[in-house]
Amino acid sequence: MNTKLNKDFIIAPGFERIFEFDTVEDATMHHAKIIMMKFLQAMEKSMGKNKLNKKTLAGMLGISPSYVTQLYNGDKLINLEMIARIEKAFGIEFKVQAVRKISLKSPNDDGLNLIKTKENRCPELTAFVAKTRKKASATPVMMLDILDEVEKVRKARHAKKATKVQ
Amino acid sequence: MKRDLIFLIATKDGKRAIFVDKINASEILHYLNQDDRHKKKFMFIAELILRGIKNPEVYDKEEIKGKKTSVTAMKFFKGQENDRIYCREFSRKGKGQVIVAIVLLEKKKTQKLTKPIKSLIEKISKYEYEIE
Repeated sequence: MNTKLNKDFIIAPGFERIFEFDTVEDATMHHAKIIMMKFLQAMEKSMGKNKLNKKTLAGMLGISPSYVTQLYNGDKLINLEMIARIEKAFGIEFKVQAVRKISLKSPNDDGLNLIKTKENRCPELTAFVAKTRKKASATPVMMLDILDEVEKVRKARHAKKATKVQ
Repeated sequence: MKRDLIFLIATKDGKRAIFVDKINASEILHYLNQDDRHKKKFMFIAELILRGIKNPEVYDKEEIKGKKTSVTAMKFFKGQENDRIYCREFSRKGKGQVIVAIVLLEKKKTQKLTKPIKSLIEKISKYEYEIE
């Protein structure tokens, strides 16, 4: 995982250190806080103009006002139980969608490294991945194709092993 | 006279950018870089600003007599050190928003705005910058 913010932002040369995490754990924790804030923002948007104060919000969620403050300050993280409480208290449902952020085309990104690992273990896949990369851009659909191909190769290998045993 | 800026960080589409006032840059950057805790807090606030996620606990417009001013504050460790970096927000027509970190105020003692803080806010609300 990247320990810099610069995957999503442009940072002025010379100021990279300010926006760099010391450890992967710190970067992950920061990412978790931003995800939490997206949930809290979605919750607030669902209220429209009827903004709630901390005390009312805390009462609705069955937590203390100081805990609400800690969440908004990023000192504590919400868990899935709290998300369930928010959905119930506000009569809302968070829609979850996975959007690919890393292109499979770039040779240096984490996504490609994942595929490379699979390729190393599975030489039959190399040709298929190379063929996919030649196309204009790697889309989530292509990613699914690759995963299908992995499954096919795995089944074929399993069948081959079974034949040898017989 | 217009004051100079130093660019820090922006979104890739250029719709939001954070700058720092050149005259106060070394003080502000030294504050942010002093330890891991301050750096992490700043990254949290900066990313929320750049992503347009509102969180008044850490970044909000300052109000004087119930009226919102053009001055905003990055709030560091509310209830503890209670430090602030006062900022200004500028909108560029069709080009997005620029946030300028202007002045550091360490250990803000009360939640209310005292007279010196009010005059500081009024002073920086008049600062002019060369923003395209």
